[in-house]
Amino acid sequence: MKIMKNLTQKSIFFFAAISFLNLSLSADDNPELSDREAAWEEAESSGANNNNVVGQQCQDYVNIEKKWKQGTNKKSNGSKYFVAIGISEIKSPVDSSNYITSSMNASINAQLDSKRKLVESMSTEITSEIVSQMVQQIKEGEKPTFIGTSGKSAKNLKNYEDMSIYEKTKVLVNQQLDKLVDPETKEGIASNTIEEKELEDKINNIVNQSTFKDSVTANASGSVRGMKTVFSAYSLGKGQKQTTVCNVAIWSSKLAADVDAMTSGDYSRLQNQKKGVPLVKNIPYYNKQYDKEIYRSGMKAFEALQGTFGAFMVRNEVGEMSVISYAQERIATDSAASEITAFNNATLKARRAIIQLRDENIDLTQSINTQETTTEMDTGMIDYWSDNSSEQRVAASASGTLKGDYELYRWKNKHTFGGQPIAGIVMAWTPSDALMSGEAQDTFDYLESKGQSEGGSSAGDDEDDF
Amino acid sequence: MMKTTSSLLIFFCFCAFYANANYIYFEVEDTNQNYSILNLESSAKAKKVIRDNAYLSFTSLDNNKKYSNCWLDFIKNRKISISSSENSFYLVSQVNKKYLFKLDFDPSKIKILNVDHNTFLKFCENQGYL
Repeated sequence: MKIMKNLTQKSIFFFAAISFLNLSLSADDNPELSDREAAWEEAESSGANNNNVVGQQCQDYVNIEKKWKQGTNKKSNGSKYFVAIGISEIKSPVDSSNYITSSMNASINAQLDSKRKLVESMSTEITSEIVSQMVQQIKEGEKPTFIGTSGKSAKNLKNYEDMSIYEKTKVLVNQQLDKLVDPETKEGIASNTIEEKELEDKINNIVNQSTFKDSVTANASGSVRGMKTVFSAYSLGKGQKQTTVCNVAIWSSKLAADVDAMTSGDYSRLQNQKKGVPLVKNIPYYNKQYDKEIYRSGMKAFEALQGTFGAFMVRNEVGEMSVISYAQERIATDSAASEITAFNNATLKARRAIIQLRDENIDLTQSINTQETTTEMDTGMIDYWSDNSSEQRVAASASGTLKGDYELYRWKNKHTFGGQPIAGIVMAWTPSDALMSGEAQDTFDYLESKGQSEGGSSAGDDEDDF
Repeated sequence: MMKTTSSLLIFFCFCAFYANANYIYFEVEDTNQNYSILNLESSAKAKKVIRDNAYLSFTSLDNNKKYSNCWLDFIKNRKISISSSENSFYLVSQVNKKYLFKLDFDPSKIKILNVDHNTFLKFCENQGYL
């Protein structure tokens, strides 16, 4: 027993020593990697590595729930469809009185962002111009005084656009020289206290100059018909400065044909489809009712309604492809007039979203300019200058006649961020309602076309009566 | 043995798929900018990536480093007009103060409007890239 105990103790000691040796060896194997791994693990567990990106809810909807990818996808029958996530920040702070209107603007901007991606994907014209030039001047000796005439007269100077790359580079070099010349010198020149020779000496101090200019411009335009929103959400993450709105939009040639049918009035294409649910069932929080399988509480369902913007295409209970459109507006004061105005504005925005769904022209212009210059002086000093600028403009326009839409639901509540009072409207459009409004219009037109009627009577004008 | 062979086969098929798929990852610095500015910067970078890889539209050329270097030299001091379609880019992740984007593009949908393939090849030969 004593021998066994000794053997056991020795074995334990032996294995402990081996393990310690292994750990020591592995720790020393790559200490830098170990440090980086430890730092990464720490960042992951503390949340410093932000795994959520802007518009994460929309990303999760596309990648995880629907298993789509952004850009072009293919259905099982081989037909293509385009998925885009549009994102925009709500420019107003949460506690601002303009927060709700700013939310609505952000949702419009997010939808525009999706359409921009589709238009760019359809066709983009890119123009690129790179100028790379190096100028060197090394002088020796005293510059003599030249006799005779030199230089061109002003009338021989070209317009900038007509200049060659080399001439333009000389203009750029002169521009850089202006930057090099200190303010004192410039003032001296202005007051004529510095002679031309002194200025020439400053330029002579430059040994060489290297410039790189990269300009890219891009243009895209197109008419987007039938790009529908399938998901929208907003979020204000912990520590984030601004609320962001995101939406997931889909476009396909079938959707384009559907909205063309809406415009042309040929509704047969939109009817007799697979039956859906009554349109009100699509509203996340309707008359205090909500789907408990989707939303764990009434507040969550209301927040879903609060964060829903734009036009959606859905099938109703009789198998018609219909449109429901969500919009909101802040109620400015407690008065009834403010409330009516807010609902009227929201209604107009919801109706406009339906028009935008049918057809919207998108124009995109973008320019990017990068410049870098290094200047080496004869003292050995090297001066570096760079300038980056980008500009983008997206313009959208939509117009059309809308008939057959009606108010599906209106709601009023306080926003869960900031407590501002909101007026919300859900508008709906169905082919049968459009047909009904068409018939009503026809009836009114018919009555008007029957022409004018005349009538009258007389009494008491017989001679015996007077 | 069979299990190893199947694993290797799946591995090579995976590589082949990604070798044929045209996508490029690019990064944008996280300078605490708001989304509009991030959108602007990423869009600008995506256009430059398309411009820098436009030579792939010359269908006879493969994705070779020598053509890439030659193209980057070719486009200097020259105006290039490009038309592209069926490309899209999107945000993949945000790690270590950088936003990572992925650009999907189809070289056959890129057209260089004012340069032909022979002019480019001749330039590369003259400059010693080929």
